[in-house]
Amino acid sequence: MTHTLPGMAAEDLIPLNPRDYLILFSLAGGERHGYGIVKDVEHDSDGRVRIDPANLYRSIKRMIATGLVEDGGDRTTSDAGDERRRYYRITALGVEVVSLEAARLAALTAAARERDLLPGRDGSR
Amino acid sequence: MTAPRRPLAVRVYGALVRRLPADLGPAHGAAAEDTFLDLYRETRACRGRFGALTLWLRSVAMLLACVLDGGSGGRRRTGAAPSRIAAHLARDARYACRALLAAPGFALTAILIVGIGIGATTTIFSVVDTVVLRPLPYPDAGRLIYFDNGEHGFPSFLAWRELDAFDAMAAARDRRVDLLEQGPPQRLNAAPVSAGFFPMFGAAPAVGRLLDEEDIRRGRAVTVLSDGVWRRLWGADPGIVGRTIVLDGAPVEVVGVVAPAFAPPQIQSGAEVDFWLPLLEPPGLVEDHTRYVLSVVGRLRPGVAIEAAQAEVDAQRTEFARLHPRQYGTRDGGVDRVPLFTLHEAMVGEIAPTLGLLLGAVGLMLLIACANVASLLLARGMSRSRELALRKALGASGRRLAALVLTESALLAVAGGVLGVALTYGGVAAFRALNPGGIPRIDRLAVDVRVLGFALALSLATGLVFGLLPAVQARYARITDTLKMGASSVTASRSGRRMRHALVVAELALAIVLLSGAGLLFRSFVGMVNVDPEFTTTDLHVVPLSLTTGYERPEGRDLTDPAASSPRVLFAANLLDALDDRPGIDAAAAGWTVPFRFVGRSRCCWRTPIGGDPALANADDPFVSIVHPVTRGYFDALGVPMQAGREFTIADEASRASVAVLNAPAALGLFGSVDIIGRTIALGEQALTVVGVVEGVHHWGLDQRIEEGVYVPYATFGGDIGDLHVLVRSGLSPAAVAAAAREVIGALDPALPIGPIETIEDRISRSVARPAFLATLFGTFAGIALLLAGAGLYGSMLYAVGQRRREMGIRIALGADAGRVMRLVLRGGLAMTAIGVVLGLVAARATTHLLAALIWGVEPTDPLTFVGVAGVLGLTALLACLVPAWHAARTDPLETLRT
Repeated sequence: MTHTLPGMAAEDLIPLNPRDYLILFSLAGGERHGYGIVKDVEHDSDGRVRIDPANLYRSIKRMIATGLVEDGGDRTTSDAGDERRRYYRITALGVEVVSLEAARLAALTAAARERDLLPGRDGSR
Repeated sequence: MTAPRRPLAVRVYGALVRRLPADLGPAHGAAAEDTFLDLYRETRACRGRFGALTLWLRSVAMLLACVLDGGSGGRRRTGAAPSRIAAHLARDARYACRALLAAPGFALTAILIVGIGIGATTTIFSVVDTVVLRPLPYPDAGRLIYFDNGEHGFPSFLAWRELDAFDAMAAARDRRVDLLEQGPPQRLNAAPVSAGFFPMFGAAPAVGRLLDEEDIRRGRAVTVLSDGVWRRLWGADPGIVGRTIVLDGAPVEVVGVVAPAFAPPQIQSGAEVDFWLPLLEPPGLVEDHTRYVLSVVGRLRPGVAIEAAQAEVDAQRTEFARLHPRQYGTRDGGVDRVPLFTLHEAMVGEIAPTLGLLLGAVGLMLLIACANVASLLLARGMSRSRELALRKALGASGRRLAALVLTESALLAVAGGVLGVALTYGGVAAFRALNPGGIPRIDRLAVDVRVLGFALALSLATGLVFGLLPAVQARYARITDTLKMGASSVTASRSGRRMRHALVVAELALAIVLLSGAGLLFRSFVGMVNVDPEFTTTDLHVVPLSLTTGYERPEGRDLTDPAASSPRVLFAANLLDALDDRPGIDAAAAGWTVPFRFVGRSRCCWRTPIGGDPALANADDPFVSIVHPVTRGYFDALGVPMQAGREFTIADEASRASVAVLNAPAALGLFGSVDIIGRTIALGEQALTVVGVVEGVHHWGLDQRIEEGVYVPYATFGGDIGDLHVLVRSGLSPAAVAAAAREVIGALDPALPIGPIETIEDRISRSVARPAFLATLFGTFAGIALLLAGAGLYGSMLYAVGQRRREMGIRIALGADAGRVMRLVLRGGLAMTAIGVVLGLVAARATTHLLAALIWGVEPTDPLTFVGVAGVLGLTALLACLVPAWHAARTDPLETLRT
């Protein structure tokens, strides 16, 4: 299992699992705390993915170990009733990986469209 | 920072997330709880309590999936799904659904069989649960103790109240009262209760108040209504409190209504109490050691064992026996003990074994259903063996295949369970409707959470039982063997065949056990209803009357003085005259009791020593008989022939003659002969001349022997007896007889309450309701078992014949005739049947003794029943084998060889 080693190349880390991708995608928009990530993911996936806390933090712990995400410290937040929450932010490696993954997905999508497996942008086949 | 206390759901989730090895670490665990809190608040606000519950369940489930996933997520490849097991399960379930939908006939059959099995078992379990398992609905029910040995006198009750072992004591009587208002005159149930009664059983008032200590101490004329009578007669009018009603001719004030949740302790007060009254303690009665009218329940002091209480009661009893040997001693100089039982045991002790037996019977049926479905699944496994082998060849592990097959079984079991629960609702309703009475707490019978939990556990267990064999088979199936056999395999694998045969044999054997039980109960029931009651039951009607209020005899009585006529005797004479004058009424008579008024082992009313031939008398063992006060024409109305002499006449009644009629057993017991007209018997101080001897009748039930009976004139001895049963023999319809009786009685005394008018035949059929009920229930279970076993055999044979089509074709092509082929197939089926029957008979012989207490006139090992049962099963088996055999014999050799 090579991905736990620090300083690895972004190419080694894709394909990402869909949940990790969505989490990184959310963090790419700025620092978030757990609840913020869950809401983002829900929004970005049109409500299809709702991450539960246990799996969220498993992913986060893993991605911190891989160097995709880092701890952003505690601070109070209004949407938790002014209680303190832990924030997370994406690393440079994280940005690189999420971009690569997006490109990979885009290529797959284009290929699928070429073979008429997807409706076109205008909805035609 | 002092954060507000978090909701319980969040704290539980947090504890789980930190404790369970989900591999988050303390920091992330705390963060996960925080995030859950945020989600919980949002969901609670937007989607309410139910949404929050869903969130909680889902989050916990996902957390558990994380844990199951191995807790080593960090080292897994990044793309691994965290809930692999859940995904597998879901995939297997989807696959199993598709597979079952592809074979709807198989699936429906299996679901139906499992559903019936679970439905029946769950129904009986509901009854057992309601009646036996659940604690009594009283506070500290475990400490309530019933004082057995019938009813007790006031002195005993008062003495027990002082015992250290008990911290509370309650007594109740069982009484009838007449109510003349709120409709036609009625005779209703009342229970005078002592001060401790309502608190002991945790009763609460619905309106007004309950009886309190003052009411009872002062003997106030007050009453508390039951919820039932309050609704039935007063339309649940809360204004009843404070009103005065007249019970038994005396005004009493209604002070309250007891809440409907209160279930009276049936054994103590009767289940259907209409009026609760204060239990008076009149000085005369308090010291009377000869009147036993109280039913007593005590509550043990906490920490006191029932044995210690028994020792105290024994000591008290011994003291009483020393002071009053005639009342509390036995004939051989011992003490007439009062055994203590827990109230629960006293209430359900009699019925519990019967219910246990029923549960056993349905359990057997469920086993048969399981075996049936298992053999269905095995046969299906055979036909799918190529598919499973192919999957194995393509890399599926044996364990995965077993899981797949097991999932399919579980799915069938759950579907069957759902059907079973639906059937349970019907079954419980049917049970309540069929209940022949005598099952305590049956009115509380309902399908509840415990029952549903039982059904769920049962369906999972059944799924496991019948799914295990095919799963094992799938796991260890060898690819090469199966694939080599090819499409036209000659025979199925040997091990599979053996398993199916074993299942069929087991089904047949279990069916024999159930059939034997049902057969014995049925023979017992038929034997009972075929007993000749020894009197003419057709066209005989019974009118129960209670001559209480206004019929008391004037003070200063002399039983034999013709002048001191009792209002009761006068009324009875006038009533019989009036009935005799009615057209359509062939005969009328009356007595204190009539046959089938009381049935069972207890003996009612007047049981006393009788003196007969001094030469035959034995001081140590006096002749004891029931004494029946009856009017003139009693035996004529019953249709009992006189063996010698005559029965009572109007002349006897008018002269208060000291005469008696004996039945044959009494005559033989007292004089050793029936030729005794003119001899005298001694009834207490009185000498009575025997004027007639009659045949004995079954007075106490068809299953009770004909007992000694001494009949005395009602005119002489009935003056102080309130109960009177009028016998009317008439060819008119029951309704016409009832109307005529009401009219005649109404003309004599419009205020006299009349009990339910019934035919003797109704009473007789009611007396055998319980055996009939048991025989029906066992018969139903046994019938289903027989059907299932037959179907199992049939399916197995049909399958075997299908597998051996080629072989049959070859045999026929080589010159075997149809008869020979049929014999070949039949021999296989009947061999299985024979083994099943032998095993079943051995098992039945070992278990039917459990029925001994429930059957009458048949031995538990009755050979005729066993032979008959074996015959019925053999015939069923023959039928089940004939069709497949016929199919085999008609095999077209060309066709089978070509394919």
